[in-house]
Amino acid sequence: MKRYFKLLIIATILIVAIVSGACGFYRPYTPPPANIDGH
Amino acid sequence: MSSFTNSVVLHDYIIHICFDVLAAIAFLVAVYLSWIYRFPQEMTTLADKTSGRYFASIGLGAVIGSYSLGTLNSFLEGTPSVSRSVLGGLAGAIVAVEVWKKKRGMQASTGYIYALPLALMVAIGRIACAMSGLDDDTYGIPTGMKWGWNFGDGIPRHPVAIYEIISMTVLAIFLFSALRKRAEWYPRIAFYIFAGVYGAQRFVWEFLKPYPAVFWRLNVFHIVCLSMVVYAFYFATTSKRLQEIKENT
Repeated sequence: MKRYFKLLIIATILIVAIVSGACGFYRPYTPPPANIDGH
Repeated sequence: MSSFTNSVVLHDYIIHICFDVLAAIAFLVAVYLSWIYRFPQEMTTLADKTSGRYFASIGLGAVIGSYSLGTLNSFLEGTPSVSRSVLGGLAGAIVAVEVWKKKRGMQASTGYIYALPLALMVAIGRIACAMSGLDDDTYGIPTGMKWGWNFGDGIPRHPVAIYEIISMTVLAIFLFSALRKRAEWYPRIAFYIFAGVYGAQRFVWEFLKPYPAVFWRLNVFHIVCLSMVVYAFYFATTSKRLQEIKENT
């Protein structure tokens, strides 16, 4: 059981570190056309 | 302007880190409590059946899925950049685990223990999206509704992250209630309920986002959401309880 939770904690930390804002890949906002309806 | 406005002043980078860490902590605590208080036998069986490769599959699938889907959408938007998507992460992890299970001939659900934690994690993580402004690319299309949200350009928009927070909170309450009652169906289909509800509600919110359509009015996220709903329905009706398999062997 302990091993399961150890692995779960490691996997969670790694996933959050790689996928979250910690990696900081953002692009600058480009204003959409005024009449944008989404599609 | 009568619409509710909320000018974003905090940097989205810091906000995301804070809420992602908070979401991860909530996730781990919810997993632990689910085990301690409700399904210790099920969890022991699950721990016996899984290994480091199981978690490696989840991690690899989540990372590849998240970056692939997010980047594909930014490419389709005409502003190619490395991006991420929680839907992609979930879908990637699901595919990876199903492949892992298929290789071992396992028919039982191994994700029920993550149903409530994932709903909580998405609800908390989405707070960062709602607060991160336009650069986060998670804003909705313009709206005339009273609750339109100004993400920084002065235009009231659908706060789609808030919609997702509400639906995931309702789902988390429902799952928590079932967990408390030790509902018989929980270990068998709880994860598929999460996946199906997440896919269905996200499918609806995607109509309120300014992402480019790839087929009819559907964007790339719509297609993944539909796949997730089909997956959830199929496995909810065919999957077995892990404990039943162990008892029969």
